[in-house]
Amino acid sequence: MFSKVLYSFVLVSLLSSSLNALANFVVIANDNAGLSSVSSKDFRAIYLKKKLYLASGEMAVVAGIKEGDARDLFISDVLRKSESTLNSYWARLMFSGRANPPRLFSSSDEVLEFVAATPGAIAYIADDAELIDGVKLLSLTAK
Amino acid sequence: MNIWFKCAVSTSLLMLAQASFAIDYKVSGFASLYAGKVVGGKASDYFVEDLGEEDCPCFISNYYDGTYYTHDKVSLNKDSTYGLKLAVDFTEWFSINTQVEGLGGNDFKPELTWLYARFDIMQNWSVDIGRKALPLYYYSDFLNVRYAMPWVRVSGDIYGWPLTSYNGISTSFLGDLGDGSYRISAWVGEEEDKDNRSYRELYWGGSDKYYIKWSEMVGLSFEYDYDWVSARVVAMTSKASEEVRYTNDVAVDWGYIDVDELYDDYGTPANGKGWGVVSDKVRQNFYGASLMIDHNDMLLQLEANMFDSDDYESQAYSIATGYRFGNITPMIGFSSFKDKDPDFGRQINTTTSLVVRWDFIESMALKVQYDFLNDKTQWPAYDDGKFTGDSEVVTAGVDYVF
Repeated sequence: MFSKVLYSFVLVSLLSSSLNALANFVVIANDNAGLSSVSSKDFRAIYLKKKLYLASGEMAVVAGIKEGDARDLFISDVLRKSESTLNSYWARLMFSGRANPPRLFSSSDEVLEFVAATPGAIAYIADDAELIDGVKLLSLTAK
Repeated sequence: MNIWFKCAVSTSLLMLAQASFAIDYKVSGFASLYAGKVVGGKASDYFVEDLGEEDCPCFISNYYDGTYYTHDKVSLNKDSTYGLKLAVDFTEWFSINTQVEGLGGNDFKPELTWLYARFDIMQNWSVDIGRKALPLYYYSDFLNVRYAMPWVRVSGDIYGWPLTSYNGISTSFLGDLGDGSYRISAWVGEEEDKDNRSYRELYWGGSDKYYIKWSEMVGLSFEYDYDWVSARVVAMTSKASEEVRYTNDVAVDWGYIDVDELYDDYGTPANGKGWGVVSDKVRQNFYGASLMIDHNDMLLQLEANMFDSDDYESQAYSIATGYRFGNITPMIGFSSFKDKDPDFGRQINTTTSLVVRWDFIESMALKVQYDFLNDKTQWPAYDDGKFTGDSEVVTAGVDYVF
């Protein structure tokens, strides 16, 4: 089933930035991940690999898009980090053999295909991408 | 070849022979270039007389690398590092990681710091066989990846042990606890360094080689990671064997080798080996803890450790804080080290550090750091009783990762 992703899925109360900014990213998950929503705090922990499992109990696999407004907003509003701070964080985990950075793709379409094919996958994409089968749009809650 | 490598390689080959797989690999690396110079302080008798260093006051940049800055010139080879990492995933449950690093204390020759096979027994339980960084401290796993830390270097007061890697087997178990995650790690192994730069260059002036072996190593750590805080406790026990080889009469001064036994009439070691035993399988224990807070751009870092063996003990701690102003992060830190050594006396020093980090472009950072070391060492064998003497050093450089 195809549908246009609307920014209204993102709860306004989550973010401190403007409404226009809110429109630029949404969170998706594999359809079988057993999620309908995720809190900003949990997604931050999962994305940074400080938390391993989704609320459904499945091991999380995180992904996202490499660049663009959606990524910039995701980093500043959900991760609450700068790009350089994030780089430094992943360098620590990567060179210590603890974890690799999330899979980043050139386009939201590629992320969608990855999420659809990967059990436990959760990711952020641009809000103008069209959903595909096997992917579920999650509402992002403040808590 | 070390038994741990044999084990890792043979097990890996066996796994590869039986598995059908699609290889996925990743190459990454890092480099830092730093210039530094001692700008103030007072030379110690020990550095001048025993180490033969005429250009002090001196500041030890990295204990584990045996490097120090002098006051006579700007040095580029004390804190500069590079490394290359290759991670190969053969299957979902089997991978090999290797990393070589080059340090100034060894003329930037590539040294193997990591080479291990990882078996993911379960999604959250892995077993590693091979060579890894010895995870005693918070920064141990990425000691030379300067980009990953706010400082130019780790504090010498805390990070003073002479060995940084080990060969063995380790296991890690991860899980969620509350809103964060925990990691329990355990390891067994050993490490042998046939010519340890740290002890040879910094503590055993005049020695030709310094041999160290830590055997029967058993370690355990527990970490908890929550949104803006990371806490870690660690303990390790091992047995230390150390031997020193001299080419001059310093050996006699220290009383480890009788002068008549050391050399024959032709100046060659008369005992056929020239090695003096410093310790033989002496039990040593290490305990450490760290707390790292990164909240609303406020940074707070605490780390402490204790070490004891039969007749030696030491305590160290550090506290640092800073604030992230966008891409600029200034920090101030204070660290302290005290020990009690039956042969030397007491080494006591504190270091105050100031650093400014500027992430000026993606994956690169510029840092400028000032350190002041206050040496309160009490070594009765020397008139001034000091180890390095007081020193002030300024270091500046660039970090890069890819």
